[in-house]
Amino acid sequence: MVARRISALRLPAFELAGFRPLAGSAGLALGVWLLAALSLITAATAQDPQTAFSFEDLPPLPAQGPRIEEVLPVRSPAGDLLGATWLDGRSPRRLAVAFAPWNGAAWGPREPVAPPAAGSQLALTATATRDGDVLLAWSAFDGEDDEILWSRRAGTAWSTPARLAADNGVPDITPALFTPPRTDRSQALAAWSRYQDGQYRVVLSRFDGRSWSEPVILGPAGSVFPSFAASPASRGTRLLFRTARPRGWRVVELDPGGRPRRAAQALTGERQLPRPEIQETEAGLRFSWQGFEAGESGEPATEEPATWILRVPWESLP
Amino acid sequence: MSRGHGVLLAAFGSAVWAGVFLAGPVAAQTRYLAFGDSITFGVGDPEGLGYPPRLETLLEERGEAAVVANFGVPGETTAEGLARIDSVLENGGDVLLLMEGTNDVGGRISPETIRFNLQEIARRAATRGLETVHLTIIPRMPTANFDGSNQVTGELAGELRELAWTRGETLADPFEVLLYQTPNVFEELYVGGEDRLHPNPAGYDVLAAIVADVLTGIDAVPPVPGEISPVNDAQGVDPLTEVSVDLFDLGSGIDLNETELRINGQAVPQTLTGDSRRVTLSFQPTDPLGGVVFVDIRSRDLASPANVLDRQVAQFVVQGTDFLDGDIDRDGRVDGADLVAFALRFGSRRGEGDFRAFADFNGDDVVDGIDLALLASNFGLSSG
Repeated sequence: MVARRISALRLPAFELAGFRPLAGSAGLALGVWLLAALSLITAATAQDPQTAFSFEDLPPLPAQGPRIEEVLPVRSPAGDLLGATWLDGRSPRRLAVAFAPWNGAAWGPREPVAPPAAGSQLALTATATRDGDVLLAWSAFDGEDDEILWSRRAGTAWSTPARLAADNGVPDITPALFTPPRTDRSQALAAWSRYQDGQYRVVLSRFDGRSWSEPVILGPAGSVFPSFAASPASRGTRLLFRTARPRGWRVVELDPGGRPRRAAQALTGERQLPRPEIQETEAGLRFSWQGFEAGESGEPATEEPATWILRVPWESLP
Repeated sequence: MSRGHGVLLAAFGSAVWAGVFLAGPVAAQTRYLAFGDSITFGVGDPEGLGYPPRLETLLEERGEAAVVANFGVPGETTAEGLARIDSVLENGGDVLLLMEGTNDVGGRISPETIRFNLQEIARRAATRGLETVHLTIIPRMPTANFDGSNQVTGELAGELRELAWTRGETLADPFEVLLYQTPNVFEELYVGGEDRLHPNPAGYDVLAAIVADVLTGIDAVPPVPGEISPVNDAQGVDPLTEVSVDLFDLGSGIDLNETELRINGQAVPQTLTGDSRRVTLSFQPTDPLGGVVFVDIRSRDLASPANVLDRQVAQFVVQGTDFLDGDIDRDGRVDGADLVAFALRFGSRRGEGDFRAFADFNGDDVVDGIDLALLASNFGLSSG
């Protein structure tokens, strides 16, 4: 649903050792100035460039700060805003997971989804199924290692957070949730990186409305940061993730049932590049990184700002 | 030099260094493999060299024959480093200089998993006979997109100190040296501007010196904190809770006779558990604590001259604390952060979307100048 995270809403300047003198009288003077400057601000201004969503014109979230991170809008498959989810609390390893519904004019009260856990809770992701339920997933340290937890809001009640897959005693990190096009009412997909046989590999699990399937490996050794997008041409889903060996980005196209159909791998040589823009072409995919000059495998930059472009044909998957 | 050219040159450089390794080491020459991300690679250094060649020069100046190969890959996380480390270790070598995790922090990978990954990298190095020197990652600039306050990076530093101690390996601590011992670090030693992460050439000089000191037995770092309980910024803490701080010094060791835990500025009866490399300072209050509790450590190490630690390492708020008017974020003090939070509600009335009762100090259903005056009257004060 929403793969790109929105910047933290906290106010980092006042957390800094270097800014602690602001607690003094000079800080008060500056604060009064800020009061005037900020009185017009009514909400977070972070934007999600992937979905062009903005909290700018919405009321403030009912979060419990001062640390508020990973604020995500939650929208229905049709694009309607259903609510927002975020992490809040005081310190990085004592963050809770929270949600607030949106009624079209105001946020509802803060709904606690998960209290602070034994350690870090982070990498929050959300989707809404076609029957209106909201699914959340995140990475949570359970005292031994990070596991992917998930919770479901059916009606107004949240299910108790549970592991998305069996506890394997090794880290599971950076999840992504998605409701594919053309699926049944309650289906969804989850992908994340799982440490297995000495390497991190992207795995995929399908939600049938009641439970998650056993995760299957879709990425090579060193594959991280999965994200989903609809694939208009194929009416399926694209699963995009970064790969370390070979270094680059890989797209696995999934059919409407969530099964892998074909793949395209962009190689970026010596460099680990950020998430690319993806466009479908006749024979494959066009990967582009704006602001990066082409490496040896890329096309000569012809755009301003410089853009690294790679056109990659599809490869069939067995 | 363009980014692309920099990458190619670095690849060439690594190949040359690998060639030096494979051609066989010079007698008594220590072969270092610098493994990490863009901060090992040298982004921010116009020469594209980073700290490895500077370290090599420093070691030679101090009489140690050494070759330091740069195996940094910009943008890499520890999860990806695990996929690369085996091929790097195939180059041979004596010591792995391991500094990675900056991209994990930005990529929302937890300090616990970063530690797991670095431990696995160190384990693989050990199976090939290499020692590992762990480097805490450098602090992030205040303008960084994430963790500009260095809370997460600081917690990661604590994890890495624990990791190095647990494995009996060496630790270099750029995080401590740069953030706490280097004045104007971000203004003078970082690239700045749009780049919010990388050192400039002067910063790489300092980074190389920090590592060189450790490798040549010069201890310039005081004891450093690890796990702290209650955690920094904890709320609603039991008034009789035990306070404990882990303290590490993997160099010359902690002078335990000159180490004290201080609560609200006063030395307290403490229990010391451990030894001079890692000690846990514990205090069990007999009278209930109240309000905001500040935890300080005064300590020094056994180096000559001694390196001194004397600073607040945590604060927490005891349950039942009455907060002052104006303390919106409930951290026990009224400061600029509260004022900014107040500003976001200023002018709102009950029933409006912006209104929050916690900013309406006098309870008249409007956040106005009277509330601002109440906040101002407590500005700079602490609860309890």
